Order: sequence, then structure tokens, then C-alpha cells
Amino acid sequence: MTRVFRQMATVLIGLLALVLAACSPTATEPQDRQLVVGTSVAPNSMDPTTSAAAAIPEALLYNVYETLLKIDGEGKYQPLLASEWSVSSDGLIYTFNLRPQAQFASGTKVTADAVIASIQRIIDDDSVLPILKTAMAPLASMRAVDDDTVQFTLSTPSQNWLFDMSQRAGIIFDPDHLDQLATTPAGSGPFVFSNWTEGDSVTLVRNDNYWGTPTKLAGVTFKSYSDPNAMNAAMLAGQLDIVSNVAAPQALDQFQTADFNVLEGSTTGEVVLGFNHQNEVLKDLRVRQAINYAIDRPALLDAVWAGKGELIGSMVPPTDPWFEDLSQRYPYDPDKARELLAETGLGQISLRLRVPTLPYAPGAASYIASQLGAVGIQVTVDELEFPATWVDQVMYQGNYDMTIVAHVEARDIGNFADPTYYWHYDNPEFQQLIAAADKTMTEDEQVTLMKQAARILSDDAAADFLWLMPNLIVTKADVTGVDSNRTSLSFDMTGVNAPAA
Amino acid sequence: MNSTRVASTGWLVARRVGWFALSMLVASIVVFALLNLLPGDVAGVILGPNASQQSIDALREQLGLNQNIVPRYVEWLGAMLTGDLGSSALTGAPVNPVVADKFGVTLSLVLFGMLAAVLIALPLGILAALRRGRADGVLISGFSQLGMAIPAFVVGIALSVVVGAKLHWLPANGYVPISRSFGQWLSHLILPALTLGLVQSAVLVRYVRSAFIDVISQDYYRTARAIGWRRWPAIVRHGLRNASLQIVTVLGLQLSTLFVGAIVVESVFVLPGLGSYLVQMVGNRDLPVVQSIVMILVALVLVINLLVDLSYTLIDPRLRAGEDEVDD
Repeated sequence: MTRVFRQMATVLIGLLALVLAACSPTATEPQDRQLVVGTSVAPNSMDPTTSAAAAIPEALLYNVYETLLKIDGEGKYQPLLASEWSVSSDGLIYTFNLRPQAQFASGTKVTADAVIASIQRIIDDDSVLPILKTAMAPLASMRAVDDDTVQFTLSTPSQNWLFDMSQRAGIIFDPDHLDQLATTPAGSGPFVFSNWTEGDSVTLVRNDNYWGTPTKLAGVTFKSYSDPNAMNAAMLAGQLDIVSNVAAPQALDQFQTADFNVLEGSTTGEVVLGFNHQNEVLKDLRVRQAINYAIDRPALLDAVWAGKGELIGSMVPPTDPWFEDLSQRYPYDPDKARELLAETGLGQISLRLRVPTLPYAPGAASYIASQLGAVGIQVTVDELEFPATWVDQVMYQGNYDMTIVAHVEARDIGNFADPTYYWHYDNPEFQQLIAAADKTMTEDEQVTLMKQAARILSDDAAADFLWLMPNLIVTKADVTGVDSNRTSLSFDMTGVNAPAA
Repeated sequence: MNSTRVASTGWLVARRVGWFALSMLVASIVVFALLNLLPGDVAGVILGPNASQQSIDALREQLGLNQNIVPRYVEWLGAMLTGDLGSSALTGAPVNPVVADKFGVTLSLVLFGMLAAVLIALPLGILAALRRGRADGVLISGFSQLGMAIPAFVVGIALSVVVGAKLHWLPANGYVPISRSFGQWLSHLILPALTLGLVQSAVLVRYVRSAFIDVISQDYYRTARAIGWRRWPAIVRHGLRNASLQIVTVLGLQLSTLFVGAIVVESVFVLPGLGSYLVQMVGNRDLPVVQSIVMILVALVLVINLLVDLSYTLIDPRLRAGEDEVDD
């Protein structure tokens, strides 16, 4: 009997000793930190050009993968792999001067040929997302002037093309690794891909051969949490260094202590109450305007997203150069809404609001249903699993009247110019303005036309632009250099620093 | 053992294995059909909310989603029989290595969960048996009722928030592979295993109690006590051995529910195991992955049941004799 107990005790003490040994720090010198960033969606591939999942560029763009030029936190272009670029006076020929020292993590130099191979893959490879192929549609030809100079000739001037070159369509891949991108990213950034545990985390480590200013971090791990509460618990337990975006803003208060920094910035995620313009009732401008008047957006934002976020009034975030505050175009005025509805003579209107199961949508939907009910529009709310069911039913089958979703892609106002897109918004004047803005020679001209286009969307009540998603970041108090604004899909870690542990 | 008996045992085993194969076949048809009836597909997930209808159509065609369901089923079943779980519709990468990797996490969780369940249920069950009718015995039985009524995710969230986020005693969630750090691996598994173990022990404690009520009414226990053994040594020396057969049988049966329970616990504790992966891939409509994982779980449950069945009949001659009589 006692022998059994003694043996068990020995085993237990041994185990305990092992645990303690493993937990106690063995190194005496401070070590560079491997930061852990909590994110809300897990990537479903490692190739940002063949899967639309925003979680892929979130981890890889600018960190592992670089573009010729990048967009900064203020929405301005900055040189990256290209030290400078010039445009011909007719807006057709773009010449990029590559940095001679730029190299991929493999040691291969970033040459004009590598740039051409990456862009050619976007055009040629069948598995590349159609939206990226569309981005390269204005491109007529490419030519390596010399090793460090590449020239693109467009068939028509395009401001959007230059922007897309700063996003995932413009990523310059290591040409020797193009066939393994779905599992093994290979780029030229300050971090190198180390490991991807599907459905769990992506680990990057410092690129010791980085051509530019090297990161001081040992690396970064992006860990995904489908449940925002689990992410918050991990942050409070000290397991995370950064929460990339707090998906439950009501939970922010628990981080208002000396241990954490809370950053509030803006994103490019417009939360849109989208209308199906094929619906007979919603074709009537007065109905769409009535809906815009009937919804008290500031109160909605307070109720659903703890008042965090901005009111925008059109499909433009404040970090775009053509932003104008149009949030007062339809102030809350239920009487005006009732008047407009009475004018239509449509009588009782019933609409189906089919929303994805995302943190903001069901709450916003019930709020909106009650406000629209108050002016005489009967709304049935339907929750659809996201992404599979929502994409199938709403986007693919067009089986909805209204829906709510945050459109997170940068500069996605152009979706309203595509009548086949799921809103089926078809306004020739708007389409012409978007096309003309793209073809302008200077950014100033582009800004003028884009402002007009954004105003049309607002006047025409093409949708109800509910609010702009805030960028709510929590970091440990000693982490610095995180940009509070999010102007692309990237969670840019290149300027982040933390003292050695 | 005479030749008739060997033959009838062989027949019995063959029959049980036959049932197993038939169950697997029926399960595969049901799983495949049900999953393919789900609205939405992987094409929409890959292309995301900015895709046009034409591109979704083209991708559906390319992925073979427009094909008839029957040939797709036959192809999948054929591959499964050779141990090939197919390729992910999302990444195109083979499923086998991913599943093998995740299975290791789930297996660690289940084994630790079982250990926790035994460590909790054994002393409590014995105590409940010894204290039958008294306040503390009743209290333990009451707790086991309560334990069965509380869902695992509630226990998990409570442990994660209190022990992890508030007290900082253990990681609130997440996982570290054993290859990276043994201590970290262990510390990340304690709370999830405890959650799984607590829920399971609520069931187990009742079996332990009744097994030990049996034991303490037996002559050998009374004899041991009569010749001067103290109560706990007598229980451990004589009772534990005799009760262990019953307890091990129940544990075998519970093993399959532990695997199912692991799905919930993995999601709560963000463990990269088979269960949480399954939940994510259902969301992504990556059907080749989902089908394979579900079939692995079905096979596990059926194999465990088969083994429990066979071990009953092969180990305990009384049961086998009973079968023979019915058969003949």
C-alpha cells in the first residue's frame, strides 16, 4: 500500500519538477520578442491572390510580401520596393525604379523580371481571383528596361491601377517559389513565413537578410479567435501582445488600465445596409430615401457598436483623398420618412432583411427592423451563416431585399458601378463618373470626380451607409508603433517595436 | 476450448465486424448526403464578398461542384477505403497530414480528460459509496446530477475567465506543441482537460459509487476488515481491483463521448484539434475535409463500441455462453 503511494508521489513530483523546469526562464540575456497578435478570422490559405479571405493579406501583406509602393496610415502612397516612380504625360506609361539592394528572403534579387513574372501570373494563372485580374485589365504591356527599372504601359489611363499595385494584386513574389504559394509564402518583406497551423495561427520570423530597415522583433504570430470573448480572455491572461481588432467594443472597458494601450482609428470597412435594386419597391427612390430618414444612425451606432466608429453617409472612409462628410444628408426624421412613403402610394411595404452571422449584423438588423416598423415598413429579419450561406443566398442567388455587411476592401466604391454586383445598382451617371475618375491624369482631378460620385450615391440613397467600422486595437503597454488607422487589408507590423523580454 | 466453441466465437466476431462495416457504409451515405444538402458552397467562400456571379459560376464548374452527387460519392468512398482523405477544396493541399497533426491534439485532450475524470470520480465515487445515506454522500450524488446538467462550454468559459484571465494561474486558452515546450504544452492542456474531465466525471462518479457499494457488501471486503485492515487500505487493496473491471468498461464506453465532447472544449479553448477544425471547415464548406473528419469520428465511435462488445464476449465466458444459446 505505502509502496504504491510512494511510487505515485514520485511520479507526481517528477512531473511537477518537469513543468517547473520548462516554465522557468533559462536564458539570462534579454531576448527579442516574438509578438502574438490576436485576429478574428483564420486564413484558409496562404496565397492572397487565390483566396479572397481578408485574413491572408492581414498577416502577410507588407510583413512578408511587398509591393512596389505601399499605402500608409494617412492613405498616401509611399515607396517600397520601388524607390521612385514616374508617369508619362498621357498617363499611360509608368516607370518604376527598383531599389538595387532589394532581395527576397531566399537571397534572390528583386529584379524587373521578378516584378514582371508576378504580374504576369496574376494575368495568366486561372486560379487567381477574378477581382485581381480585373485590377490588371488596364495593363497593355510590361518591359524590363534594365535589372532595376520596370516599365508598365496601360491601354488607358488608370488611377485605380496604381492603387491596386499597392495592394495584393501588386505583390511581388519570389519567382522561384510561385508553385507553393498556397502553403509557403515567399516574399521580400522584413518577416519570413515560418509556420501555418491551419485554423489556428500563422507564425512569421525576422528576415535577417532584409534589404531595408530590419525589424527589432524576433517575429510575430497571428493567432485567430472565432470567439471575441476567448480573444479578450487570452489578452487579459497575458497570452497576447496585441488584439488586432476588438470585435466586441462593449468589452473595451476592461482594457482601460495601465497594463494596456487602447487605440481607436479608422478602417476601410463601410457597414452598408444594402438594397436589392431589382426589388420593385426598392427601385423607388422615395422608398430608399424614406429608409435613410427612418434610421437613427447615431443611436444605432451607440446601441450596436458602443458608439465606436464614424458616420460617413457614402461609400468613402475618411482616409480616402476624396472623403467628404455626407453623414447629414439624411438626418433622422421619421415624419419625413412617412411622408415620402405616403407619396409613393405603395401602402404596406414588407421587406426581408437577410443578414450574415457576424458580430455587428444581427443586432443592427433588429434595431433597424423596429425603426422601419415605426414608419410603416414591415421587416422580417433572417440570419444567414457567414460566409457560406450568406454569400450563396444573398450574393449569388440574389435572394434578399436588404442586407447588412461591412465592405472591408479599400476603395471599393467602384462596386456600385457594376450593375451585376449583388446590389444591382445601375446608375449610368455614377458609372461614367467612376470611369472618368479612373482615367484622370492627376490625383486632384480624380479627387474632384470621386467626390461627385460619392455625392450621387448619397443623394440617390443607393444604400444606407450605416457607419464606418472603427479600428479598435489593444496592445500591451510596452508595445509601440502600431498604426491606429487601417487603410489596407494588411495588419502592418513593420513599424512595431517592443522591448526585449 | 472445444472446436464448436471456437467456430461459434469466430462467427460471433465475424458478425460483429460485419455490422461494423455495414454501419460505416450507412454512415458514409448519410454524412455525404447531408453535407451536400447544406446551402452555400466553397466557391463563394474562396471568392468572398466581392465576387461576381460569373466568377462564382466558373469556380463551381472548375471545382466539380456541378457534378452529379452519386459519382462524387463513389469517388470519395473509393479514396477513403484506400486511406486517402482527399484534398482540401480551399487550399488543394492533401487532408491526411493536417488531420494527423490535429488528431494528436485531440488525442492528448481526450487522454488527459479521461485521466482528470478518473482522478475526480474515483475518490468522490468511493466516498459516496462509503457515505451512502449520509449528508456528504448525498451531496456528492447531487453534485454529479448538477455536473451532468451544466454544458461543457459553460464550465470551460468559467474556468478560462476565472483561472486564466483573472487569476493568471494557467493560460486562458490556446495550445503549444509538445515539441516546442513540454511545460507549456502541459499547462495549456490542464484547463481544457479539466473541463472535459469534470463533465465526464459527473457521469462516472455514479458508476464508481455503485461498483463500490457492490464491493463493500462482498465477503472478501468484510473479511479484510475483520482481520484488521483499515477501511481505505482495504478499499484500495481489495475493492479497487474488483471494481476496476466495471469502471474500465464504462470508461471504454465513455471514450466515444469524450471525443464528441472534445469538439466543444476545443472550440472554447481555441485548441487546434480535430473538433475546432471541423467547426471552422463546416463554416468554409470545405466538404472534403468535413466529410473525412466526420467519418473518422464515426469510425472511432464504432471501433470503440466494437472493441468493447468483443472484449465483453471474449473475456467473460458467461456472456459468450449466453450468446451461444441464443444463436443455437
